[in-house]
Amino acid sequence: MKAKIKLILLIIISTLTFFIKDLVLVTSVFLAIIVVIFLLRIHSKLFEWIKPISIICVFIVILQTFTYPPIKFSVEGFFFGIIISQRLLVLFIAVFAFVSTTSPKQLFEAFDFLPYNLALMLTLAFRLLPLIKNEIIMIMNAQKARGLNFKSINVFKVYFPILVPLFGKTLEGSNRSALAMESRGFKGK
Amino acid sequence: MGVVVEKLSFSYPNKIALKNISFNIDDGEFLGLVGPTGCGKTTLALCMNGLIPNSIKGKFSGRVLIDGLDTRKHKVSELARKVGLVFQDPDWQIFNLTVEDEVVFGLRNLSFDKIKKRVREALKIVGLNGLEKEEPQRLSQGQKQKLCVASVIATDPDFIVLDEPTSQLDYKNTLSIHEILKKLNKKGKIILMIEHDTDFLAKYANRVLIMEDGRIIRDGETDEVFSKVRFLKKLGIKIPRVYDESKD
Repeated sequence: MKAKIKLILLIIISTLTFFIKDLVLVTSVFLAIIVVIFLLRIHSKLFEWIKPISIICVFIVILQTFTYPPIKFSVEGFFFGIIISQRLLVLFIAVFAFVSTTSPKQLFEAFDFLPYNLALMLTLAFRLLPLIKNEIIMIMNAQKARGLNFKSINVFKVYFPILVPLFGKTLEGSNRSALAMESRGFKGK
Repeated sequence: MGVVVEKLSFSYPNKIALKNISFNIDDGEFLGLVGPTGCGKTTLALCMNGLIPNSIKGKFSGRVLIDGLDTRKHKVSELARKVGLVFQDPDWQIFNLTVEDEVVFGLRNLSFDKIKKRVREALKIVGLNGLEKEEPQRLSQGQKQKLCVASVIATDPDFIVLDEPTSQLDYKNTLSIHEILKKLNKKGKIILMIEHDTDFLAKYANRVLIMEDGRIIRDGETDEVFSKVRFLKKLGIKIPRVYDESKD
């Protein structure tokens, strides 16, 4: 499928998901996109990436269950949490499917209707994803070696030692990329 | 082509990086720059093509002249025609979708035929010819660094600055990069290389600068600088194998 069509589909799915307020409809979209992931045979790759976002979703459901007005346990809050989580997951999975099945070159072609600088910026952002993934794996291994327990229930205790160095590394790397581009005469178009 | 650094000082908002540095580089020189981590080597490299003070802000004084052009008064994009800069980590330097596009990136103002010729020559020098259509991310780490060197030499700068280009490479690729630099120097390019591998510098560089705490504390011919074994040991700099203690 052409990258531009995939991009349009991605925009439609993401926008629609945020307008759907019905639990059955959101769940249907969610299940449909899961089927697509299996058909594309990228499910094993998805499971590697989805863990952190799933934790956030669980957190959202718990939060909504107990804070949905009035602030006490409520079934409405629980279902509202499920809707928000499913929207987030659909968005994440749709972007994941798009990026996984589109080469960087196709990505750049898909953005060719945008101004050059914006298209380059978006392509760079997508291109850096595998680099960032490698950084995450390296940081996780380093923290594991230092005794970090990933099975701990305390989310902050688990993710802070990963997110803080990741943030630093990514910012430093992006800055290095910008300097490298400028060093080679890049001044925008 | 000549490089003049005069009373150069630079401070980041929270750190003084360079303190009153002065030196000249003549045509065809191969300079090694060594010193402990954090002594200001990378900052000095960033001053060579005008990234400091044009893009990286801080307190800058003194001047750097590249072939008579003051880096304070010329844009980095203008200086890029005269100075090529290769960074340490190739992963964050490569941003194009094919090997060919990566090399072409700095050549926008040339004619199509000239661009084609330059790309072919640059890739041949680094041994990546035949991989023009390959995605850079599929290359090995050594090949990626060679691609960064090729991208710089395609713009045909007279002065090439390299910031520890072999620090992430295995022995074979390190040797290969060293040979490429030797070849470029023989073609008349000025090379300024930040490098911890003093054995390589002892073999190829004709002049070595030693930095400590933002200052150049030794500037001389390679043999003269590296024969001061006790001095090098004190600074924690690796003593090249060809120099033993008897020379001190």
